[in-house]
Formats: sequence, C-alpha cells, structure tokens
Amino acid sequence: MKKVFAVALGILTAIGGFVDIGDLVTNAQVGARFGLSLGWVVILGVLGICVFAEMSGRVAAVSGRATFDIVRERLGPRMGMANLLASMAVTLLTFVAEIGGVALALQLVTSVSYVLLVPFVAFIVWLILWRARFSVMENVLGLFGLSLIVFAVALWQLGPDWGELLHRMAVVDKPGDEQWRTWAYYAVALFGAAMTPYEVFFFSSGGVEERWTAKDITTMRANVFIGFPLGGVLSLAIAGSTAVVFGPLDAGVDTLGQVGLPVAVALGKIGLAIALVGFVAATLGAACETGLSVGYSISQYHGWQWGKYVRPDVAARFHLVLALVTIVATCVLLTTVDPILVTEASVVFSAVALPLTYLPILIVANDEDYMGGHVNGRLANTLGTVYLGVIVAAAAAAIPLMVVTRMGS
Amino acid sequence: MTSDMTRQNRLTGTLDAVLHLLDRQVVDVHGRLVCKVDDLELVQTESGDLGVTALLSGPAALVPRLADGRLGRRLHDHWRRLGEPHLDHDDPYRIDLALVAHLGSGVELTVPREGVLVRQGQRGHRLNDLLQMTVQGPDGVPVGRVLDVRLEPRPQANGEVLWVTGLVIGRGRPGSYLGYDRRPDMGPWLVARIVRFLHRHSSYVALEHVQDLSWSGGVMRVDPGRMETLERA
Repeated sequence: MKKVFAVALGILTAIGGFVDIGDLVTNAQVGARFGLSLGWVVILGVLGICVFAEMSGRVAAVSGRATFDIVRERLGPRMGMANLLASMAVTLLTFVAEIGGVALALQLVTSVSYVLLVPFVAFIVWLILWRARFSVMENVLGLFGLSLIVFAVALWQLGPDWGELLHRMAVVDKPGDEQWRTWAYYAVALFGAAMTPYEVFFFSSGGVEERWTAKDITTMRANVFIGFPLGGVLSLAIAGSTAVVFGPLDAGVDTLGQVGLPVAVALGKIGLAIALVGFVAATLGAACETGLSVGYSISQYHGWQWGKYVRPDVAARFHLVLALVTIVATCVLLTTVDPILVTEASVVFSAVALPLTYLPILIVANDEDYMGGHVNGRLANTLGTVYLGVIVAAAAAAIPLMVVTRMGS
Repeated sequence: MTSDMTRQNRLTGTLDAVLHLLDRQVVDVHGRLVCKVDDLELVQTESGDLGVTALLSGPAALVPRLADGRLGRRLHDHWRRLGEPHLDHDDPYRIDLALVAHLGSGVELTVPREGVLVRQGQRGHRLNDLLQMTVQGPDGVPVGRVLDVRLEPRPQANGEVLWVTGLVIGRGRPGSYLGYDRRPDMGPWLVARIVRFLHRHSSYVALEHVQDLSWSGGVMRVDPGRMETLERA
C-alpha cells in the first residue's frame, strides 16, 4: 500500500512539475495562432523527454552518477567545459524566465508591478533551495501545480467541436494567414519547451538525492511514462482552450494574463483563481528545479559535494552557486526585460543545447561498465537513435529559423 | 548508493586510464563527494616501465588538461600568472593509489574526506603529459597521438601499482573513442558505426614497442609494423 502511494505521489508530482513557464507561454501562443495544428509536436516532445529522462534516470539509479558526471567522464574536461557553459547559459535563461513567471503570476493576483515582486520571489526561491527538504519541495509544489488541470476542465466547458480540433492535430497543415517558416519556428519552440535540458539535469540528480537504486527503476519508469504524458495532456489543454477562445478573434498571446483568459471565460472567477494557483506553483517549482540544476551541474563537473541530502555546510560551494545564480537572475529581471521574451528565447535555446547532453547519456546507457544488466534494450536504442536525429535537426534549425522569422513575428 | 550490478572492482583486472579512471568522481568512505580524478601520476622506472601511483586533483591538475588548443593554452598561461606568488600553485592535490578501495562508476576511498587533499610535490610525470605527446613513425612522420592508456594491476612492495601495458594510438583526442574500442558491439548501432568509422585508423601498441619516449620533447616513436588492430588487444 505504501509502495502504491509512493508511485501515485510520484506520478502526480511529475504531472504538476511537467508544466513550466515555457510550456504555459509557448502552448498558449501556439494555440492562439495555430490552433492545435502543432499538437503533434507536443506529443513528439513528450515522448522525447520520456526517452531521455528514462535513460538518465536509469543511469542515475544503477550507477549513482548524475548527468554532468557522465558528460565529463565521456567527453573529457575540454568538451565537458564547453558543454557546461552552453547548458548552464540556457538553464540560467530558463531560471530567469521562471522567476519572472512567478512574479508575473503574483502581479495578476496583487496588481503590484512584477519588477517590485522579483526580489521577494527570488528570496523565497533561495530560501526553499537552502532550507526546504528535497521531497517536501518537490511534492508540495508538484501537487499544487496539478491545479492547472483547470485548463482541461475549461476546454471541456468551452465545448469545442472535438472532431475538428483533433482533426487539426492529425494533418500537417497551418492556418492560411501564417507562413510555413513561422510554423516551423513554433514547432522548434514547442519541442524545446517540452524537452528542456534542465528537466533531465534535475531528474537524474534528484534520483541521486533520493538514493535510487536499481530496485527503484520500476517506480521511476511509472513516473516518467505516466506522469510526463499526462503533463503533456495539460500542455495540449492549454493550447486547445487558447485556440477556442483566441482563434476566432485573430489575437495573439503576449502576457501571462492572456494565458489564463480562456479559463476565466469558461469557468469565471473561481476557475481563474485555481489557474493562478497553478501558475504560481508550476513556475515556482520550475524555478527551484532550474536553480538546483545549475548548482548540480557545476558541482558535478568539478566533483564538489552537492545535494540537499547533506547539510549546507558540507556542500558549501553548491549552496554558494545557488545563492549566486539567484542574485544574477534577480539582477537580470530588474533590468525590466520582459520575462515573456526571456521565456521565448529560453525554449528556443533549449532546443539548441539539447544534443550536448543527450549523446553522452545515450552512450553511457549502453555501457555495461556503468549499467550491468540494465543497458538499453532494443526499443530504447531504436527510439534513442530516432530522437538523436530529431534533436540534432531541431538544434540545427533553431537559430536560422529564429533569425528569418524574427522570433516568430 | 551504487547497486550490486556495478559492484565489481575495476582495479582487479585490466583497465583503460582515460575511459575508466580519468574524470571519475572520488567518494570518501562515508559516501561524501571529495573531488574528481583530474589527472594521474605516472612514474617511470629505470627499466622504462610506466606505472600509475596516485590520483591528482585540483586546478593545478585540471587547468593543464584544458590547455589542448589555443584558447585552453591562453587560459593556462593566465591561470599561472594569477598564482605567481604561490610556490605550490602548480602542485596538484595527490591521493595515493593505496587509499583507493574500489573503482566502479566512482573512485571509493578507504578514508574519510577530512584532510585527504594534500599537496605532496611533483613526484613523477602526469598522464596528461603522455596524452599530449605526438606519436611519430620511425621516419619522424606523425602518426597520431595517444588516445588511451591500458593498465594492469601488479602487486608491489609498497602496495598495488597500475602498470602501463600499452597505448591506444590514433587520430582525434583522448577519450574520443567513447568506449567503443573496448566494446565494439556496444549500442546504439548507428553511433557505434560512426565512432568506429572515425577511428578506423586507430590501433594498439604494446609499451615495449614504444621507443624514444621523450617527456621534454613531447614525442615518442612507434614502428607502424608493431601496431595491432584494436579488437585483438
């Protein structure tokens, strides 16, 4: 019974923790402009993150080594350092976007300018990173993040033509007033939002924090293969409800308030209140995960003690990194840069940085020295190789598409 | 932390220095993290044998390894200038091989981490010196560089030493074989094919066939006729 409870809790946390500011903003923007015609990208991305997270989770469970240990062991200190700099630049960008997202969500509640809220939010994030127990942090924020289910309820209440909505997902098409290159740009952005590198840094390091062993592989797989796809359903619900409300208006989504609008239209004040709780929990949870990911990765490269399973003074350099990145993110946001713009950039650069960490994990997941009998099977390797191609293609296309479409405008 | 599957100790059989030991996490007797294996100490006997005697760690071991290319060399020069007043700036932390209990996915020590990182002065060469060398044929034409170093444990009067048995020589950089030299059948198929194609000229040479190993000159000579294909090694 206890085991069932643990698995259920893990799955619920995975659902709530899947959606972050990148998913919220990108899915709403795409829903408003393209309907569900890019829904297949969400499915492609969710399956991709399942493949990637399952491999890195399995490596962490069997060998006790997290992602950046593996990156440095396989690629050496030079390539490892280049990889670290690129991955951390992207993750820091995501961290900035998440803290900005929390502040924007609180602005919707309090009507206080988000810039004034940023230092407060950053302090809360740092306090959680320093003091809160790992499991408490993950479970509480993940469960509150489940309030985003309100988007699925809203979509149902809006009563769309389901056949028409699902038909759009099944065919490769775009609305007549959009160009194909804009369509391709948003496809890459959605893919980057679903497959953000920090998710894997956090997932594998979290496995070491929770002291997974080979016995926990089944639980880990349940979290990945049930939790992540259900999180993907939430993403599609956000895109779908925005498509129903914004589609006929021919309007775009530029603020977090507009992301919540379909819920307000369908369910009124109560629905909006629940959505706001979901926004705060999802972005705050993701802020903690991205912040920790930076600390984890830098410490793992250098071999420093890291993790919340030891006292902060035992992992002093890890906590110093956490404090520094929180200060840096605060400073970036205090320049009044638009957090939504940072989010858009972060999902595209996520797609660029993804192959750097994917390839070492794919290789080590095949290495019997690390994995013993738990090496990749035929299915994992087939999917792993297909996704290697998809990830490399998305990474190569991302920046050219960003330039020619002027970030999708 | 680690499971039974990977409990086998690598130190009991032959191993590859770059693939299995370099850049691994060092863990103390209580499971706390200590440092990375940033480099290895290599000692050469009068008879020409090479042995690994200690793990080296810290910036003094790591920064020279980054200096494999122009940007890395500039970083190394800059780092050296920053520490000019310190006599021991270039001296890495040394962990004697006798303190290593187990080598799996990490290096487990027999002692707690308190006071384990000590600078002990330069005692021999470094693995990185060997990895940076140019390998020449008898006529002086470069044939590549050392990609990995094969080691074999042999008991010694003062504990176990890992002796160098041979070198993996080829084009590219150390570690770029990604383990496919040891396990040619390792998946995924496509990645294995690509890596093995890129390394189709790489080969193995036993240490006794390596001539004129010059630490100061950074070169060694190998007779291509003595090179063996990797699968047989």
